[in-house]
Amino acid sequence: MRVLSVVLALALGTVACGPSPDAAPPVAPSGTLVVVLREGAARVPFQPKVARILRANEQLTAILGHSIQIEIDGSLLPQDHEGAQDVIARLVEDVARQMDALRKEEPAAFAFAKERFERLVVRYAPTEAAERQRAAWIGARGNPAKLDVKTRTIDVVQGEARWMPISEYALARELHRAHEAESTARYERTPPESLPASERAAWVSFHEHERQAPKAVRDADPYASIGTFDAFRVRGMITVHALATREGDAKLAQRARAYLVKTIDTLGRVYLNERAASVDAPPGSSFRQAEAAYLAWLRAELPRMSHAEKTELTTWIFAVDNQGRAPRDAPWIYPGIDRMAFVLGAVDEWIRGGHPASARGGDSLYEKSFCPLAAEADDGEGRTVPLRRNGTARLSGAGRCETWFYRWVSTEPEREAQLADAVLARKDARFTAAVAHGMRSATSSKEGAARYVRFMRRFEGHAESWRIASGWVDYAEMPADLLREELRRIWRTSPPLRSTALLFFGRQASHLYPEQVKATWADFLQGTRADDSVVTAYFDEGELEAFDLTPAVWPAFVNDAKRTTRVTKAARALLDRGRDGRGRGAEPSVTRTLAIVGGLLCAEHATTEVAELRAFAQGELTARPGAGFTDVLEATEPNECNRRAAENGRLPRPRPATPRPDPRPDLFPPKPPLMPNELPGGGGSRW
Amino acid sequence: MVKRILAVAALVAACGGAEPATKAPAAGIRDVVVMRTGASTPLPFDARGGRLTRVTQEVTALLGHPVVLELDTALSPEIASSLEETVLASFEGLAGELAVLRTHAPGVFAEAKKLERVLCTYDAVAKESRAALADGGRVLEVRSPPDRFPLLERGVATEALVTAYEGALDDRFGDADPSRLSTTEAEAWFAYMTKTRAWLAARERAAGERSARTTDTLRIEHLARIVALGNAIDPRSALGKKVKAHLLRELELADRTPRLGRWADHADEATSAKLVKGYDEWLVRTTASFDDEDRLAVYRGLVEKRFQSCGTCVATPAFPSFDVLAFGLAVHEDWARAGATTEPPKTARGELWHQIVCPRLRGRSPSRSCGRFFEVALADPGWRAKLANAILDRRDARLLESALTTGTIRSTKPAIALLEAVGGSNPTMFRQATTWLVEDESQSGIASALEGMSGAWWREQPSRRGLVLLLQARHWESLGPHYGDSAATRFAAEHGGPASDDVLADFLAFGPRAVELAPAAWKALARTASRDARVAAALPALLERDRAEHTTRATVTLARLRKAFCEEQDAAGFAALRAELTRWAKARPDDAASVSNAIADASLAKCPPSN
Repeated sequence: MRVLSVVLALALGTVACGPSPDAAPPVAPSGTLVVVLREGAARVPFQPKVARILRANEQLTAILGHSIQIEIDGSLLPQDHEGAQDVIARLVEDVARQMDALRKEEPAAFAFAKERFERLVVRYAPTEAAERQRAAWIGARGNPAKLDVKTRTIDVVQGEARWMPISEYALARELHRAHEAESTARYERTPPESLPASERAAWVSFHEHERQAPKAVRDADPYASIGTFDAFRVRGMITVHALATREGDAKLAQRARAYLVKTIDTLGRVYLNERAASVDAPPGSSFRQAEAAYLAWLRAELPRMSHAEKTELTTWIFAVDNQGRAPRDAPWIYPGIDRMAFVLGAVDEWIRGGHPASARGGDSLYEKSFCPLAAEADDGEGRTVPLRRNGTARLSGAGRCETWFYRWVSTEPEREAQLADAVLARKDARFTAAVAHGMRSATSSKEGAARYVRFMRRFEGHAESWRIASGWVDYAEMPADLLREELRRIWRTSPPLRSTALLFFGRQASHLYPEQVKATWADFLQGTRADDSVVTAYFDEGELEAFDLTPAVWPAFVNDAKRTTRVTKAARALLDRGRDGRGRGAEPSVTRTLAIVGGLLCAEHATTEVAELRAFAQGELTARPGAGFTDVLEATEPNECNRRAAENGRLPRPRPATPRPDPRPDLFPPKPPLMPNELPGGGGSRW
Repeated sequence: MVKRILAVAALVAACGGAEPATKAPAAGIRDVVVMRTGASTPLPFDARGGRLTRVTQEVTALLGHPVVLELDTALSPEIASSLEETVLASFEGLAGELAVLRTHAPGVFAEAKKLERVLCTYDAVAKESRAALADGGRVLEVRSPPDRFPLLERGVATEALVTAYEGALDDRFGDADPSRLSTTEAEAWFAYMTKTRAWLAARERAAGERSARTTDTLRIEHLARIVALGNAIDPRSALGKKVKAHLLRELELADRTPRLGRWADHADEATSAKLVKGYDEWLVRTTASFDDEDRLAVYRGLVEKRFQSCGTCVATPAFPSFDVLAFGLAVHEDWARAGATTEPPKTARGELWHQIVCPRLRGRSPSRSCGRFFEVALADPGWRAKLANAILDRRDARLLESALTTGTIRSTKPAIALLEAVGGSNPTMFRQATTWLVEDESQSGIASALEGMSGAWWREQPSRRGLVLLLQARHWESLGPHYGDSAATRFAAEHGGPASDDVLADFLAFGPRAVELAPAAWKALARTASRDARVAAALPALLERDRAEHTTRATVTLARLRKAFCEEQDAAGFAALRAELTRWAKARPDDAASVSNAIADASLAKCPPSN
């Protein structure tokens, strides 16, 4: 600083003679140039830059584990000692900073640096510097640093003297590059079995990154690497896994295993995106060999795989292409892997575990494979109801479920048969429901509905399973003609299923015009009415829904006194249980239905049954005040009954329930009742 | 006279340079002695002088001789050290630029080797440094404004050298006839024309005014000269391949006829015509040497890019002798010969197939990313006629299918014209095509378009009445039984009564889809025993389709047939139905449920009571 100050004083002194440095700021007339010269600050009595160099070097030694030699070309240094010290300090600091970054970001390259970096030479060579940086001219990133592995020296060339001799992490980049180059030369195509055991971890580290196989290899063998599936790498990982397992190196075995589990993704993408190449690959090709080795490994390891590993596999084992190309279910995909057994294994685990709900919000093996349903379902209005056949379902995960498995199943009748057999063998209600729901979800088109009907036929010999499975027939979306014909057949040929068929047909019949009722029911019943056992089972089928549909299915009941007894019995049970399971909420619906039934009985002149119903209503009126039994008494009142009889049995349409008084009418005004055509299944065929 | 400072590289070099990188002390940085020396004392060596020596040595090594840097004193800093720094930086920059030129521009570097002096002169009004070569390239004259650092700014020397080099090239090649050049000269000429702007720049300068017409005409002329070279050399030679790659890239700009290049709209007609003629000749001459990449480039240039620019003008030949339609059909043939895969490989050949053929699985709509070749082929009457002839000549049903599916993604009307053209000469192909069109529900657009032809076909082509009935039945089915039956009844009334037995036979011959649609067409059929027998006999085809596709679609058809027989009180019909289905059920005992209702209900006694 002193040197520069002196020079400055001399230079300016020739321009104008200013006052002494200590003079007060002058007040000078305009037009006079005044220059004030001051002394520089007093210097400290020690050399801080030297201390910087020492401390930085200590840190560098601590990072690398050893000191390095630094040689800097004298021509790159400033002319004076202070400047030179500053440049040297910055150089050592920069080297330390770059090594520290390498240690944190690229541990493998840092380990390489510790062994291979002992000397740093910074030279002045403008031409060479320009050539090393020339890549920058064509868009690449040049590097003035170059490592000579033999002499463990990094040679940095500079085209000019700068205060920061090494820029842009040149050393770290060069060490990383050199490490990559050495690793590539050493591990890229060297089979792991030919390496010493101590280097296998490095081999895995190198191959864990999905590097593309060398061009020369790809040119020589078009099947060596398809997409990111590198035959050499996959086989090498299998070898490492086997060797590490045998030698008790659990950590390395786990790394290789993790890679191999993820390889299902790579292979799946080959099947999906490189379909032509993967189909065309000849049997002895490197792809086929690696594929066979990998799938053999997979088969062997599947029984030992964790839940998380199986979850990882599931995505790609069943993923089906949605882009309009061929489904990924051709026989050449994952040959030898029994995908059905894989899912059924998960099902058995789920059943053994007591149907556990997903702990991870619908992302588990179960949700990704067979998609279990919740133990309880939502009725669509936020109320939780028991899992029943009401067309609504809640998934056991967080509302996310994949239908890949079911789509895969639905492409082959043999798979459908296998799955149906598995359902029947397990006799697990929730699995049965999951399969029915999944198969219906996977076949949503018109053709899918026709396929689903055929699938359901597989359960007809097993009444309980069929009942559970049929609960997931979304009757609102099924073609009405198809469903009606299927129900007619079931009514005729499968007596144990009649109660369920009656419930389903009742849903359709509730939307008939009065003039259609007689012919439609006659066609459905085919001469066989619902006897007492069927009626009893019917009321057990759909609970409140079945009871609500009583007027609609009334023509199906055998015309005897038992029917009224069954109706009142079912009504009592419903009132006891209630909509909420605690005796509340069912009254308006039940009493409305009973009033309609009373009207029907009147129209039939069934005086004994009218009396029975009236007596029941009379009894309940005192037991359940406010439930609406006066409606029933009114409907069965003799005068009213006679009037109905005179109308000769016109079937009254079900009336919508009287809305219950809302405790907060201002906040939640009652909604108008739904019209018939707004109900589920509305708009069905009326022939 | 302007005083100058001479920094003679050779002399400076003689002052001695710094020692080369010496071996570092064994103990590392701790042993550097800088700490023990007084902080304000100068270094024991001349760092800047050492750099100057080294850099001038390097410049000498690069050029083979020293270079003298002459400075106008008006440009010189007043402090000696600053002068040294600016001289040093000038040489450092020059060394770097020369090193890069040596590697990346050998021609320019050869020009640079003549350089002996760099003369920096003061220019008070200049805003930027400007340089030019003088004295046969031996002197680089730089005119700079004051206060520039370094005196010889970065890039100035390179720019001057490149300008001089291009000027020399232009002197040598500017008016040369490319067809008369030797092979070596042609290489240099091609590099001059494609890697420099010298030709265009010189002629734009010579033209004086910069108008769109001048610029565009020059560009067309420039390209025409390269085309002329292409026509003079072997396309398989090394240079021929370079020229081919260049011309195929340029082909993408051939968006309008007769002018080439969207940037050459204003070129004069004569020059444009000359270019088109040359290009045309080149394409015909070179086509045989095209590989898959080249063909893809041709497709992109003559179909894709032109379509983007002017739609179906693609069919108007940009080059009179190059048949784009034949080119596309050859690609289709190549695809068919290679196995007609629906999964084209990810190669240039596969991409060509994807773009032109657009392979797809039946039942799947063609990809929207497919090209527009067949769309043009169908839309242009001339191409459509040629396409129809090609289909007929080759009896290529696959080509017809490709054209109908790929060419009708956006418009279905031209498909009818093509079908008519093919069907007029080959009814069998027409039948095959219409069969899969009706079966393939992804092609409902064309099938609906065919409906529009029903009236004319019914009147004029009795052999197509079965097809007309089928197309109508598709429509009636979509209306539902109530309105559908009314429409079918009206159809019979307006078409000379119910369809005859022959028409029904023809209708049912269209396969399972026709059988499925038979109830929808029922009101349009004449009530005869033959009708019942024919429909019953056709039912197994429908049931077999259900088995194959594991569906139950026949269920609804059977129920609707029952309804029809009940309404007609047709006991004979029931009998025929029952007999056929019973036979089928016996042969397929595992699938009895599919016909269970139909057999059980097959009598008038089982008909539902009328309401």
